[in-house]
Amino acid sequence: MSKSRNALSAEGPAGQPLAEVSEGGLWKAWVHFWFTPADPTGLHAIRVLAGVLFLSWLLGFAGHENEMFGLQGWFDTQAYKEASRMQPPNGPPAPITWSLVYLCGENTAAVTALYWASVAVLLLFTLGIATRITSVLTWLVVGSFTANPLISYDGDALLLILAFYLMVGYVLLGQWNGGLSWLGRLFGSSRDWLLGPVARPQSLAANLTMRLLQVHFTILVVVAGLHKLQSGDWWSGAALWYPLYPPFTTKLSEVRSLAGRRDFYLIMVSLATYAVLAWQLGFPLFAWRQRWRPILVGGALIGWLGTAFLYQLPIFGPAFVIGSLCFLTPDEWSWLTGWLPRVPALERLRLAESPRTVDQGARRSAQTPVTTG
Amino acid sequence: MPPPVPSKASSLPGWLVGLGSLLILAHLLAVITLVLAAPSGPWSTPFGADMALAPWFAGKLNEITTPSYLQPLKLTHNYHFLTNRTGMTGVILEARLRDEHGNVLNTLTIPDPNANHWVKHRQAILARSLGDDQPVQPQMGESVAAPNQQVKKVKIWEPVEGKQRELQLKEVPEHLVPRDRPVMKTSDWTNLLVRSYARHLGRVHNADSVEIIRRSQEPIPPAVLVGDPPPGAFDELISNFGRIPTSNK
Repeated sequence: MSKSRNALSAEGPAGQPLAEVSEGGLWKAWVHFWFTPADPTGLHAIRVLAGVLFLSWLLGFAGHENEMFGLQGWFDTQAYKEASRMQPPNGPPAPITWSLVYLCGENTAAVTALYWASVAVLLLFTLGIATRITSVLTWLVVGSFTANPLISYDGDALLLILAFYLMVGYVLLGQWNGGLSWLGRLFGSSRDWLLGPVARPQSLAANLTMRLLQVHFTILVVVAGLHKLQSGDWWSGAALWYPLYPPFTTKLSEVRSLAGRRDFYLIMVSLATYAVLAWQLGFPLFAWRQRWRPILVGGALIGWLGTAFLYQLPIFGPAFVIGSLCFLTPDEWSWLTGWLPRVPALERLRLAESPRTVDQGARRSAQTPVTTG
Repeated sequence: MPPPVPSKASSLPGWLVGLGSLLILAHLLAVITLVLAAPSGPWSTPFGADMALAPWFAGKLNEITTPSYLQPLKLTHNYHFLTNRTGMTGVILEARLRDEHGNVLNTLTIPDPNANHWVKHRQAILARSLGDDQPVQPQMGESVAAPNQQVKKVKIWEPVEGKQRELQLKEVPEHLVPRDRPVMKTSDWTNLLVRSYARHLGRVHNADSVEIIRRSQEPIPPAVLVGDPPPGAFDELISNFGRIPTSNK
């Protein structure tokens, strides 16, 4: 009984308990989960955060674009030809698929031009300009610059997930009934621009995108947690030891200096290791519950610090934080964006004319414009 | 208790909701199938540690969904992250660029300590990709070459004479692979990467050949807090891929 009550205390798209929406049966709950219009502010915020991540990722390779991605680079044309003849499991770690970079051939100037054009696309998308077009281009850019099998990295998968679902969201946003002009239908709504006071109608596409991100991210987190259980280091609680004492930089004397407080130290390391496992394996139990937000977002933020400072791994930390923020309800986004204008540099983020921010109750009384696209 | 929230029922027609639902289900099924189709392990078996195959239903379905749907979308990761294996061997590469007379023009270290974090990280991935050695199974019998054919040969890592922590690649007939100790070789993928990277360095630095040296060190286990480290735990293993022609001149 209490179990079912807990399950029903999770939230629907607009933050209402699922108990109220699941009364009509499974189909109604399904339709409500996927096809209820929601305030798109969360989608726009995720776009900005993901865009900043995409930009920092791609700009990090500035000056190295030819060696990293070009067909005269680390993995050249001949290597692609040879790799295409290799059969799994002896071949590349990831399938070799399409990339816009291949269109440049061995022309290094073309690769550089494509690289900087891609940076411009990511910038436009982040700012919310012509999102219908730039979302598709952003996905093409992310797909193209993660194609090199030689530098294929786990974190790239998270970039691809974000880029793909954001593309789906912005291609559909406002298409069905958004009252857009033909230019708006082609290039996207000017309301996608996050800066400045803009009234945004509720949108089915925004909800659908956030739901797809939520479900896919949950699958990713749980599977990654289960995969950790295939390793003895995670069971023994020693997994986080290794990044603390990496080969080459660790001296025996350094490790030996811990001997005096060995038990305390190993207890802390093993507790931290199990906390990571608990967060990942328990993720679906708390991700959709509002009162567990500190665990959801706090865990992701701690994970960011850990992956950045212990593992020295880029992408994972910020991508996990963005993935966790996808679970915030429109009310929570409203609260968050309400805080942003207090930051001096972000005054223009004020959403004064947004129906949500003018009157929090207005959204609940379903007075806000609704777009099913 | 808050008042009931008016349900904002979808204004989409029923057929579109149904179609959308089917698409969502198909998409998520493809993603979950890919995840389930990943081999797991290594698990302990009567024949030693081995990977378990994917469940049959997932494997078969995945043969359809991944190439035709997930691959074009680039959603092909099964979330069995390599980084979950935290105790990984450290690898640093040294590339000695040589001219046509064999003189060293320059020596590069990868990852480059002076590179920015993003580049250094990808360089570390490159270095680690060259650390993927494979065991060589010695042949049980004596092989005889077919008429006008040579005996099959294999390149294996052999210790440099008098130096236990230094290895070099040596080509030996398959039937002469040592049977009294574990023998490792480079994988086909590693060989491909080494050649490609050497060609790149040759192009950029106008080198005639590149000697690639892999310095590796095993992960340091927490057991060193309890007792003495195993022999060689803090020592580097130096593996020389030899001089690779860059085919630039």
